Amino acid sequence: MKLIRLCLLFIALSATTILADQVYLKDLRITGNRITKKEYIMRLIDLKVNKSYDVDRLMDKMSIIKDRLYSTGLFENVFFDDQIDENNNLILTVKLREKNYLHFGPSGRIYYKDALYPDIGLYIDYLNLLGRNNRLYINTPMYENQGIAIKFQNDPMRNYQFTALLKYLVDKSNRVSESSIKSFTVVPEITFSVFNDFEIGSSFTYNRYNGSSFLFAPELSYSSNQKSKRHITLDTSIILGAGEQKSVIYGISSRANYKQELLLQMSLKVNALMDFLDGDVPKNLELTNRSRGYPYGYLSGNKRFYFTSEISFPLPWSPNISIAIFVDSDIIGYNNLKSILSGGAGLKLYSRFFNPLNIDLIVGKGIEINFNNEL
Amino acid sequence: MKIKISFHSIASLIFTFLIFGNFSVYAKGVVKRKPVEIVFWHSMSVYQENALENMIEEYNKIQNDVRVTGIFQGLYNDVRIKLLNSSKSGNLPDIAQVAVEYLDPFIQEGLIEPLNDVIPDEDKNDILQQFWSCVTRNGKIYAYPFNQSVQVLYYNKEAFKKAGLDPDKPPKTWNDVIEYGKKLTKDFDGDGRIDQWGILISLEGVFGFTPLIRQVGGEFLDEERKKALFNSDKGVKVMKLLLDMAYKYKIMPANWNLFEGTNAFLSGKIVMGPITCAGIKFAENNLPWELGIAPLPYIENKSVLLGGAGLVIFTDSSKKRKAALNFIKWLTNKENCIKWHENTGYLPLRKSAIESYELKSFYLKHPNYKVPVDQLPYARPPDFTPMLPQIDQIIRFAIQDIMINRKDPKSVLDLAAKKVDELLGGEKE
Repeated sequence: MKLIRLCLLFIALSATTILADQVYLKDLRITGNRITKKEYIMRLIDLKVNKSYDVDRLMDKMSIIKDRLYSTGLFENVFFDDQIDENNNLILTVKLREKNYLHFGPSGRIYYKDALYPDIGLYIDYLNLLGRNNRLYINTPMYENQGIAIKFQNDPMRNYQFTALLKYLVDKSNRVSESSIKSFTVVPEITFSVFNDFEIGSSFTYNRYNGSSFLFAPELSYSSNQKSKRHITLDTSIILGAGEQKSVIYGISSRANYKQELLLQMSLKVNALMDFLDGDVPKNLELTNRSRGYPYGYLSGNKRFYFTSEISFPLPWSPNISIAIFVDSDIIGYNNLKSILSGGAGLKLYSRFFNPLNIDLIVGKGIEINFNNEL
Repeated sequence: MKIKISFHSIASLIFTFLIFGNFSVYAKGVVKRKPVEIVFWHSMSVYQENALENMIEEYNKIQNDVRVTGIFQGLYNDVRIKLLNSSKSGNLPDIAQVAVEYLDPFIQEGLIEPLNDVIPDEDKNDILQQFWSCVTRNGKIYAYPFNQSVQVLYYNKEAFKKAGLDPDKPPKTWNDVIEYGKKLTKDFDGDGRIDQWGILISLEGVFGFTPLIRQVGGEFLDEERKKALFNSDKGVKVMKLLLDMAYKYKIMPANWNLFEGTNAFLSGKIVMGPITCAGIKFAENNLPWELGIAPLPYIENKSVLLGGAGLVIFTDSSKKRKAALNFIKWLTNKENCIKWHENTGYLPLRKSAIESYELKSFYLKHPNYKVPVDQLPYARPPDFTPMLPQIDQIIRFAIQDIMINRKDPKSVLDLAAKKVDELLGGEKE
């Protein structure tokens, strides 16, 4: 009899312990989402109302949910407010503070070498289209180049990424002939996450420049943990296409980006790009120099190695302003490769409406002020 | 008729549509009313200032009755001097952040009134007693606790790994620190000069010395605050331990101040050091190596000093006092108290905050922030007296004399105690 009582007591105590570690989620509320849709947020919060949770597991989940919500890039602050009602049930309120989703500013560059070549425009970047973390970027070059570039990106939290670029450009830079060259490009691209750090995908390009051409580029990319102090991304794509009169275009493009956080929020970025593109390549898709401080198309070829490195650091007394020092270089050509080098310093101004506003001063063949706001 | 549409006009249209479309969302519900202006002097700089300014900005946004302007006025001592000077010209701010050890001169001068009657019971019960004790004198509460901190042991996990030490097992006692320090102190290039020191204990006056003397069962001042006790055998024992670390075991530079030590720690030349928990966020964001935080090591008993500042209301106007109090209550409410802790490293003040799901889940990803909170059961404020700033100077000189000039600890501490006794006696008179 004593043994049975002891067993019952043990069971009762065990049950109490189990119950003490459980919490019943009676209600889940979301506040502060003025633009972001509730359904979108709920998709990222995998908690169910009217369900009991193991407290430790709930903490784990909350920590993951918070990370997930911050990863969207939509929120400045995510806060879990807990209330316990009279029946010891949990009422959880996810309090959100949204960022400003609209950024705008100058784009393009002003280049000077013997004469002034202004090629500036304006850009608008909207981060939360339809309240579902879709991004719309519009750039309107207004001087030497005129036209419009519209880029759409779907929610980066999905396991597939869709981007679409539509670009219409009128190149009026040829001052001698006074003629303008029109080009029209459409590039839809889709990538899928495979495993943890890898993505596969493909882009398809329709390009109209004198005649029509099509490019198909399957790609594989790797990205290390973005939260670590060292971050690497690698990306390779094979390019296959057809130009006018069924001529062939082929090539390969690889890029490597490395970012390391140093002392006092200084950061080092190194980007390397290797491209090979041959065949009947339309003029507007030709490989040309990327180094800033040189005229567009200063060098061209079917092989290009581009390298840029940058060290940036925030001003200690004004962390919204960062200073960057950088070097660009290209090795480019057909059979005889030529190299160019440029360098400069830049200012990054972070504010509610700039994310950030970049102003770089570069010395190369000439002097360039670059607003460097390409998406 | 041919209509020409330039790209300029298209761009202008898009901009107008998107920008004004966006602004309209923010413009909703704004009602203009002349608010009560509150001037708030504070000592929070760099990242802490950003965290505080963000909170002030949020308060100004969520209500229209009060407009708070935060002004950085230098470090705690600068604020103390500015406040005392301003009191003579009648230009005191409405609210100021005053270090808990600097409250007494303002009380003595009759510049601040007790807040006991206006603090709601909810706050009195929810904010931990240790924090109230920092701003209470003779049962009267003179400030709202705000940014409170304790010292913790910062250490470089990567240097631990390189020395073959487990980065998840930091030293618990000062004797452990000596053993770890022997392994961590290195002359990498063999030039006879130490390139990496095991530890730096920057004994910054009263605040560095008090917790160590308490760790051996001693006290800094007597209960009546009339006599120095730091020159007892206990005080001498603490100083001998420090001398041993510097000269016998050679694991610590003897003559570095806090500024030099902090720089050396940032650049990886110091592996361990007791530093305020208020720097955790800054260190995590700015150090190029992985930061470990451990409880402050102990000698015989666990003890840490509770420091920081409280929010003091100086304004006499009843309208402004009410507005100031509402702002302070908002600034220290559960949600803001958690955010302040998460954004700086300062301690969470409230029981409800410490027990919240928000903080418990935060600690899973940020265990360093939990360490100072776990030290709260044995955290005590310093021995308050209006003479504390002067006593602090005396102790700083005494410690320098012992550590740098290698004078006999007992005689230096006796001399310092004599000066302190005179000061405390002078106060009595």
